[in-house]
Amino acid sequence: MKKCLIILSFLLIVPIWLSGQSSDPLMKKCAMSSGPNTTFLKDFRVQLGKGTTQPELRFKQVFPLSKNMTYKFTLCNSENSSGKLILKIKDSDGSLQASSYVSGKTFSEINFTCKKTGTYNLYFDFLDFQPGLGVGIVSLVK
Amino acid sequence: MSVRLFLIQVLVLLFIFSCGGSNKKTAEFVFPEADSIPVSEAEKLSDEAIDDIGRNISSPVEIANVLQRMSVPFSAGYLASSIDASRLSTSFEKAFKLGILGADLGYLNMYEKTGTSIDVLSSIKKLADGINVGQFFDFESIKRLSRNRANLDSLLLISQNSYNQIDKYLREKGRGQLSALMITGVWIEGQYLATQMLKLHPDTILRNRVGEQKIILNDLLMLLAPYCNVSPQFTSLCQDMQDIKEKYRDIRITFTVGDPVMEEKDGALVVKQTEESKVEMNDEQLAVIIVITNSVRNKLISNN
Repeated sequence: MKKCLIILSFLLIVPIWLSGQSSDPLMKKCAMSSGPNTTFLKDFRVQLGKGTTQPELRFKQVFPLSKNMTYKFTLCNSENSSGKLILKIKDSDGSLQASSYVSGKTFSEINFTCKKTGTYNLYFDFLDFQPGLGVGIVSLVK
Repeated sequence: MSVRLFLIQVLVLLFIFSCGGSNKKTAEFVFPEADSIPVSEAEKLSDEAIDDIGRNISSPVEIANVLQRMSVPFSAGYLASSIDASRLSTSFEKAFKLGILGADLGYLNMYEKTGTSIDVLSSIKKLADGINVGQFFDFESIKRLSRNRANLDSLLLISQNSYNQIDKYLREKGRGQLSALMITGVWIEGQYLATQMLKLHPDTILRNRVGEQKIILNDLLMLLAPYCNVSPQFTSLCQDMQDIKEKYRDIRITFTVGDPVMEEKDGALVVKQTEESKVEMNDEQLAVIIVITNSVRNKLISNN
């Protein structure tokens, strides 16, 4: 009985302990690559399968942006990722404010100077709806 | 990522995002009033909507950043040092004060007061353990990083990420009420810091930031609404937040419409909005908000 309790405790505790570790090296690497003069705010882990062509990017998140602040959006791909992570930023009215994919060119960094405080929608996907794994980091530029 | 450096970015225009004319016009920014969203409706909000609202609370690091840009000196007197983590018994108190201390930690870290932050971290550890989320804090690493200012960027990253993980975990595990309390605690402490600093260091950007909280406060009330009747403590907190909301009622936020301008610099895309929000808040309204924020915050942290 005592052995069972010890095993049960181990099985319960280890997953909790493991889940508590900051074990996402891609996130850390991406955050630290945001460059000097920035402060980390949030990370978004994006993992998607192959998708069909559609009008909107598939992974949507909400993020608040404040007037007179400059934010840096850094996009990183896992080494094994087939697709390249892209991002569109739209305001709460759905108006496009920025896109990391412009005229056939992709950017891994967007520096966004906000002049209108509000809730913004961040749309992530992989270029041409390819499958992929990546991380989007939002940092504050000081 | 040195915290000490403040550089102004020089932008070179390469192309304009839209060829359309700017045609600026003024429009009223319309908010749903809190009392137009009854509890019964808030309870119907989807998990996704609740999740979105929770994420819609700005980081206290942003407030600290504004204070630094204003060259406002650090003041330990504004920290919630009266919180005695070992005396708190309920999950409500622990989660709410975890948020309060999280905001203080962000303030301390941004000002590189890593020595003091170790004391705050000890309290945070007790509170986090008390609601079974201590596993998301690697306290030993954070303490080690705190001893050397050269590690400040890593310290900020780990600290901020720990709170993000806790928030996500609580939601996923159906403990959304604790997440809502933590977020409320972060917000009230950030609002307290901003309003107290405004008294001594008047500044337009900070003043506008306080006025803009009308938007955030509305979301915060929606986040709390499903839990306002679950306990007397929650009911009291909801009433306190509603009292603050009431003081914001006549503050107006308008905006001008414009197209964003995009350019390429050093391989990165640089975007500048021309659309702009504007806060209309007079001195009397601001004074009332400073008073109510101070009153509510002090009441909530003294309730050990």
